[in-house]
Amino acid sequence: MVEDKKNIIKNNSKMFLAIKLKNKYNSLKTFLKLLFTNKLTGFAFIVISALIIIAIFASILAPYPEQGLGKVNLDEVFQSPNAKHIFGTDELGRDIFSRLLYGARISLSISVITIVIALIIAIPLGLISGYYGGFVDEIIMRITDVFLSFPPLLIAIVITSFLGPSLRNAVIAIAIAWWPSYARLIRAQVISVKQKPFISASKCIGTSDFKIMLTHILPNSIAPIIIQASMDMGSVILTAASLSFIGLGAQAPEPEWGLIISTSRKFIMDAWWYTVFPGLVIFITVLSFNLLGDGLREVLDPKTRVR
Amino acid sequence: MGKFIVKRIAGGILILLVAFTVIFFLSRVIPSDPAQKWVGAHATHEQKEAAIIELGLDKPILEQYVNYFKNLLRGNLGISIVSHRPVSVELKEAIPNTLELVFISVILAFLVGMPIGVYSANKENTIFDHTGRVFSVGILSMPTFVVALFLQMLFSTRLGLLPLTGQMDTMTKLMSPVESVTGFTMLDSLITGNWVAFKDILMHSILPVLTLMSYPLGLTARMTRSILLEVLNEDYIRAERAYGIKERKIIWIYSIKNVIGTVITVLALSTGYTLVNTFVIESIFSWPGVGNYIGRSVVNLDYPAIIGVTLFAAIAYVILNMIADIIIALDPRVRVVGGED
Repeated sequence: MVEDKKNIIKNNSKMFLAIKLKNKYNSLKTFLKLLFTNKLTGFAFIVISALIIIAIFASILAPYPEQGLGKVNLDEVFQSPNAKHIFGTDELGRDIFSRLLYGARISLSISVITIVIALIIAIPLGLISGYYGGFVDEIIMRITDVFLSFPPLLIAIVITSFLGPSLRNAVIAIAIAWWPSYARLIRAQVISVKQKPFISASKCIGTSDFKIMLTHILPNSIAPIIIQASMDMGSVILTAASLSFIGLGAQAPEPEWGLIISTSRKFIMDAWWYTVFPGLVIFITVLSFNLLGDGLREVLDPKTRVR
Repeated sequence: MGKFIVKRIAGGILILLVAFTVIFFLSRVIPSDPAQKWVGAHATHEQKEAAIIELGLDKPILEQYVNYFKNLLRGNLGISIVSHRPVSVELKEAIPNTLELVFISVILAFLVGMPIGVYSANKENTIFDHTGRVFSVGILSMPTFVVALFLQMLFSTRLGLLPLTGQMDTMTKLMSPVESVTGFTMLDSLITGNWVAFKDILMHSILPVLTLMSYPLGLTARMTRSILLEVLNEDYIRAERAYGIKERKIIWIYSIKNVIGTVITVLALSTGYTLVNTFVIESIFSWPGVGNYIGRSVVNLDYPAIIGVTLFAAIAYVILNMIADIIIALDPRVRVVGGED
């Protein structure tokens, strides 16, 4: 008898899991269908998926992996695009195509890490600010005011020039420049969620503030932040590339896109391919992230549809 | 209204004070050795001690902080580590050149972007509209330095129409030097009637201006289009159409009034963005402005110069934000918080 019950529960839970997975799958299918109704968004989605695959498998996909990481090959300096090097070679004979593939790895991980750091700073501050209000809120909000009064690139330039130029410092600097907008967003969400009856209910049964914030408020206010974060990927890549371009980000021989273009400047008269291909790659990447961001907003929030 | 402006200015000054303080502590906390930089790597210990006293680094940090503000008020930004000239003097030479570029770009972006936006709103969902939209999204996704390099490649290296870098040719500099009246080189050449130099500077400025205007141009066109589309669906516009008022008059006289305020606000904000963009692109064009200056300072880790440029950018940015807010407040439909009481 007991065995039977156990089996039934087991089977039920299995079935339940299957239904749940099927629902998930269906909602994913609807989501993708909606994304692809706008052709530009669909295009952007494909480009970004391809980029992610390229970033993961750069070492397999690149025709010359060692050159991608910076190995000098002085026999083939400044070759224009040909069958062997489809994007040509640079001043040290390295295959530009391979370097760009490795660059995808750097650029994508920079933007993900930066946004994660910014969220790690912003989520606790936004939660505290929105939940407690009052004096703490006032102070945190005035700090974000100061940050938001300046463009992120300027803040990042100042911080990296003090920390010393390197890719790691560029990531830290961009995260410091970026967190205030997330803190604001989280605070606004928290304020609207904390007025819901279920929060008062859990307060009544004596749940601690910390637990309420972590288990009730945060899960209910995270969605818009994730959307915003995915929309910011393009801007973060742009800012990081600009920093590297000025010389404050990645240092040679790292195959960072901004740095590659910055180096190509010296040879602009002779080697057009050295500037054009990296430039197009950055352009297409940022464009795809921007288009996907617009598309996501349209799908998930029809009210703010941009015309 | 007056009260609002005073409040806004006070707020701006407060933000600047906080920003200056943050910059000061950043420059002291971070492990860099200004005295060592000042005397160079091969200096003796005594020379370094002397430099520490000369730079006031031996004093307590609070006193240094007070001195820093005192010096700021006197316009003293310290002395550049690389050139050993006062930073304020170097900035005074560089700022007008940058402002010239920024203002010309933003004004041109407005004059070109606005009609494009109006036209594509008017012809919604035609080929022109789609092209315009793709173009403006595209331009907003293009890193400025890539725009700059592509323009250089097209117009200088390929076609040979425009000069690659610089503000004027060495020949012009020697043969017909520009007298300094206002410090704004292009304006000065115009005032003094120095046509040779003016033409030369104009030719040199075309590429940087095209680069810088790309971002505000895309933004203006996009904003104008979306706001105008909303306005054109309003009832009073439909009423005007019913009266038989000409479409051109409806757009350029009645609708545009509702668009222009927002667009100017956006433009004031994108001026700040353009200013920061000069930091990246001036060194590409070797334009002798603030951007070129900070590019050089960053490479040499010339902290007084970096701080000087940062302070300038902060002030400019706060002023631009203030202008944008005041323009919004001038609109009688906007109820300003704290304006009535």
